[in-house]
This record gives sequence, C-alpha cells and structure tokens, in this order.
Amino acid sequence: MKNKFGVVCLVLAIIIMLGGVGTSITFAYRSFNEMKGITAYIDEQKKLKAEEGITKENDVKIAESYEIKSTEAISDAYKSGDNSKLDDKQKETLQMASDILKEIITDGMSDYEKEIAVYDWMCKNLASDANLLVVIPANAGQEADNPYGVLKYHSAVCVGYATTFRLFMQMLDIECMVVHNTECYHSWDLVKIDGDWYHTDIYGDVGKGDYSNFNLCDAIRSQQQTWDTTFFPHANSVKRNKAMENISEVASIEELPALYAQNITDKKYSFFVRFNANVDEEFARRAQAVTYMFNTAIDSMYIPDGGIWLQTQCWLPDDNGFVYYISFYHYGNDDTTENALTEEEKEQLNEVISDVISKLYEQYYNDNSGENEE
Amino acid sequence: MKKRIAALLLALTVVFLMGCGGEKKEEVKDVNFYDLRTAMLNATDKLPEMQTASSVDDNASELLAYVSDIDYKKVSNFFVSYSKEGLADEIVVISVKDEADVKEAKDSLQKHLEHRKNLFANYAIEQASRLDSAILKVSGRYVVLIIADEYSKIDKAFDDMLKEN
Repeated sequence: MKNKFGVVCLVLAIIIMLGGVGTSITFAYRSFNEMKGITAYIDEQKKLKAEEGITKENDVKIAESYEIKSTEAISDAYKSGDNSKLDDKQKETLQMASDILKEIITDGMSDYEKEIAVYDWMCKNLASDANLLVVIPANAGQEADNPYGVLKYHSAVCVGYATTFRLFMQMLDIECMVVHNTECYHSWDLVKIDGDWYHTDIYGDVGKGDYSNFNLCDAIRSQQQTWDTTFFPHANSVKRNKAMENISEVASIEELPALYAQNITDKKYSFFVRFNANVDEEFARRAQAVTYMFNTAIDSMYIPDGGIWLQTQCWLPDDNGFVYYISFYHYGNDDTTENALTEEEKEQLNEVISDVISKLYEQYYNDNSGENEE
Repeated sequence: MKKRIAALLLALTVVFLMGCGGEKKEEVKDVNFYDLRTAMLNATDKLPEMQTASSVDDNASELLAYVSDIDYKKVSNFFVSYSKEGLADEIVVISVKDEADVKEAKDSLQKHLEHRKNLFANYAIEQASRLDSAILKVSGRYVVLIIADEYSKIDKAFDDMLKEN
C-alpha cells in the first residue's frame, strides 16, 4: 500500500515535470522566434538610420502619410509612344495626362509658355484635398498624392500637385524635380526654363492662379521654406518670375502705400519695386517699416469671407543696386468680394486706405524723428 | 525513502510551476465612454461639426493608430472626436488597462500634437495658433487631449464626469 502510494506520487511528479519541460521548450521556441523578429526589426531600424540624412528626390514620405514616387516610366512612354511596359494604372494616367496636354499645348509654344499653360490648367481645374487636415481621413484610399488620383478625382495634397506638375513637365521634355522641405511636411517643384531653375508651388496658388508661387528664386522661396540646398539645384534667376512683369519704379518710400493699394486693386499680389534712390541698409529698414504699417492697416480691413496680408518681402540684387520683392497672400471668393462693392465705393475705399496709410506713416516718421533727435 | 523523494519532487514541481504563473490583476472599470464623450462635446457650443471614432468601432485599433502609436492591447477604451472639415478642433480620451502605460499613451498624443502643429503651420497657418492652447493631461489611467476654443469648459466636463464615477 505504501509502495503503491510512492509509485503514484512518482508517476504524478514525472508527468508534471514532463509537462513543465514541454512548456519551457514551447516558451523557449516562441522566444527564439520573437528574438528573430526583434533582430529583423533592429536590422530594419539600422537601415533606416543609415538612410536618414541622405536627401533624395523620390521615395520620401511627406507629413508621415504621402509618398513622393517617380513617374518617369509614364513620361518616357509618352515621349517614345510605347506604353507596353506600363501597368494598367500607369496607362490610364498616361491617357488622362495626354488628353490634357492635347487640349492646352499648341505647336510653337516655348518651354515657358508650356509651363504657364500647365500651371493655369492645374490652378483652375484642381482643388486641395481637405482630407490632409482631417484627423482620420474619410477617403484615405483616394490617391490624392499621385497623378493617377489627382487627374481622376481632381483633388490633391501637396505631393499630388508636385508629382503631377513634374509628370507634365517631363512629358514635355522640360527638366523638373520634386523638392521637399527639411521637416518633410511640404513638397513643390523645381523646374528648368531657358537654362535657369525656378521654384513653382501649385499647392500655394491653386484656385487663385495668381502666380504668387510661380517661378520663384531661392531667395524668395527661402522666406517661407527650408530645403536641402546641397542636393537640389540652385534657383538664382527672376527672369521668368511673373512678379517681374509687375515691376514699378518709385522715387521715394512715401509712394509705397499708394502703389500697394493700387496693385492689390489690380489683383497684382506679387510685384517688384525699383527705387530711384540709393538703397542702403537704413533705406531698406524704413521701406520695410512702411510695408509692415500697410500690412497692419489692410489686415484690419473687413473683407467678407476673405483676407489679405503680407506674405513675403525681400531684397534682391539688381544691376542698379537692389529691387524690393513684395507678395501679399489673399484668400476668399474674389467674385463675391468684388461684387460686394460698387466702383464708386472701391474708389472711396482706395482713398481711405491711402489716407490712413499716409497718416500712419506721418505718425511713424514724426515719432522716429523725435527719437533720433533725443 | 522513495515516497519521501517522490513527495519532494512533486512539491518542487508545483512550486516551480507556480513561479511561472503570472499575477492576476484586478480589473478596473472605466467611466462610460459614451457618456463621457457626450458630456465633453456638449460642454461648449463653439465646436464645429465633429466626427467620432471610438473603441466600439469594428476597426478600432486602426482608427486609434491615426492619433496614437500605443500598442492597442494596452488600451481599455478611447474616443477621438475631430472636425469633419479639417479644422484644428479635436478631443481625444484614451484609458489604459494598466496605469503604468499611461505615460506611453501621453507621449503618443504629444507626438500626435506635434504632427498636427506641423501640418497646420504648413497648410492652414490661420488655425496654427489654436494648437498652442491645447490641453494634454493625465488623470489616473486616462490621457486627455483637447484642442478647442473653449477648452477649459471641455476639460471641466471631463473632470466632473470622473468625479461622479
């Protein structure tokens, strides 16, 4: 009886021990597999770390969601007339883009004219995808970041505008790159026209098409964005910048407010100013002070469903010294804003603006003179 | 002798296996998340039209991933209410099963807040300053993020709901 009890205990102990050993082996095996997963993860992270800091044009993720992808296969197919290497989606993209170019490009156009035609079409026909700012996007699969989705649904995020513009340019055999800012939160294009590179950001102008972000040089673009200037080509020219067509010459700083008011009335939101005077540091400082005062005055104006404020100002070297670049940001329905006032009211308003600015300037000038005398 | 050895082996094995077992934690009950969300959303009439995703949705873990990279297994309940039109307004409440994970949840929402700040700075500058007054706080096992004009009213509604439970 005693022996039987001992045997039972022994058998039970062996069964439990075997169970324990089995469990240990299972856990060890699972841990080993997990370790393999961890090792693979570490290798992946090492690879990503190594790639960090190396700028590239494509395969970059913007705003943690949208990837810049090359579309050269499509533009090459357009140029060669052979689409046999494209998949169905690429073929459809090519078809949509070709139809648009057929509609807007005519024989004998220069590269600059072709660029304007594409810019105008995109600004007029596309709209910004509001999903970019929605916490959980409703149609995340709508491909607003690539030419297929942009041309199909006419809705885009910045990556969509930039890659679609580049596709058009490359189809037209115009050199073009997609640039991204250092924080990887925005992208736009660098396009080469008549031997010079320019920054063009369709996203900034879509719906307005006022050329505020069209063919900018590095100096102007760098007022708003930073990017890897060691990787992307330099844009040093303003020859093909639209603001150059709106250049005005003034004799003194006092003429600036009236010029700004007139340009805004004429919907020239970006323009250059050349002074018939020697532009030194003090002169530039005073001109900027006037611009800020004008901005304060115009910012306080009530514009139904809209607004206007100073976006960029900078000085660029010129053959005769320096030219002053000004760009005003405006939003809202232009037609609504325009129709809200009669011509007579607009004229009266312009007088009021000029009067307010003159008084502000006079005040500022007197205060400043007083300080200087002290 | 054999009996003693067998008994000793049995005892040792049982002790050994007991050591392998995990400590069972006491389940803590959350405040009702539907009531909490309703109270917070109704605390102000200054919110735009809001859309909500929460732990009752079929793809809850995928939805939470838009605002937090915390391991979903650690989450007890959550809701995310956000502007349908892409404005800055947003309310997020996450409760974690274990209070030890609350910091991870807070850090994930801090990351989300920085991401939103960058987005608005680049794409809707007129909304960007609204994120500067965002509330991000921890209360027990709960992490709360509030981005809204009348954020203090919403915050008070959260505190009141927790006090009641």
